[in-house]
Amino acid sequence: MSNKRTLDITLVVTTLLTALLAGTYFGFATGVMPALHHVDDHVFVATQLAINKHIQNPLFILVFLGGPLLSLVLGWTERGEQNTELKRWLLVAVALSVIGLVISFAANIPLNDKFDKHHDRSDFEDAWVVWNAIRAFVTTASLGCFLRALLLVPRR
Amino acid sequence: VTVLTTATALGSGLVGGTFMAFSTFVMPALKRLPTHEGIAAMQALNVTAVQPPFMVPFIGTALLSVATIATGIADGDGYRIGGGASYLLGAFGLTIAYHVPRNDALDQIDPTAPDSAAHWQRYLREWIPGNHVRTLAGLAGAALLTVATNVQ
Repeated sequence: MSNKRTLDITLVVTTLLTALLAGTYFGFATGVMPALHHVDDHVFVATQLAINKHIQNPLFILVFLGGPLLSLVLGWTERGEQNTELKRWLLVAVALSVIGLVISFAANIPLNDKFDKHHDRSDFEDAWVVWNAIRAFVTTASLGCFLRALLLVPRR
Repeated sequence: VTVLTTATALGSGLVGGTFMAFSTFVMPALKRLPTHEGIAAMQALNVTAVQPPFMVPFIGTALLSVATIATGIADGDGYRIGGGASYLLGAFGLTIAYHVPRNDALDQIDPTAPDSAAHWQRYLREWIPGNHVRTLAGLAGAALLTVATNVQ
């Protein structure tokens, strides 16, 4: 590492942001969506609309965009490094993090937008749950790779 | 030991992230719903929360925390002791001692009963600040344990 200290801090912060994001998706997959599955259509629509509105808050957006963007920064700073085990884990982590973001923009967010307009549960719930489970898995895998990379950073 | 610490960091981060979702948008959303809908949604949430998909990481990380604290004490590593304790006390312990009794009480409520609104408001007033605390505890646990894997 040309600048190990900077890498350490960026890597730690990125890992934590990724953990928070994975936990958010995981919470939807294991708690929120299974719970909403059991409520009637009226409560489902009201709750989901309110969640879609409140999820657009500064703290969540920081985590949602911050993790993948910092990942890209890490990937960029690594580009000139030798092909070490650390670099490989890091690049896999970066790729998974970006894939998670792409899934959100390609699948979950358009589904949210459509739902906000039409309030149609049957057109939303099943697809959203599947894509959320996939991004939860991908983001958790990214977290695992970041943690593996952290263990490979040379000790101070 | 590094695998143990890493697994504990991962669990603590996942659970902390789940709590964060509740602090930053699930509860603010439920708060805006009509009382009977908010209660019905929360009661449904409290049923699914105790299913294995959430319970395994939630309880599993608590067990891992105990082991991490033990190895931290053995090696004199403050990061591992602090990180493990942050999850064990602040995220796991607080949930059992503070949130679970309130959830149990809410489950007894009939969402359409006339006095349910007062109960719901008190529940939100107490539950949400406690959730902020356990979110921070989970994040602090993940942060300290991540640092621990890097300095040991």
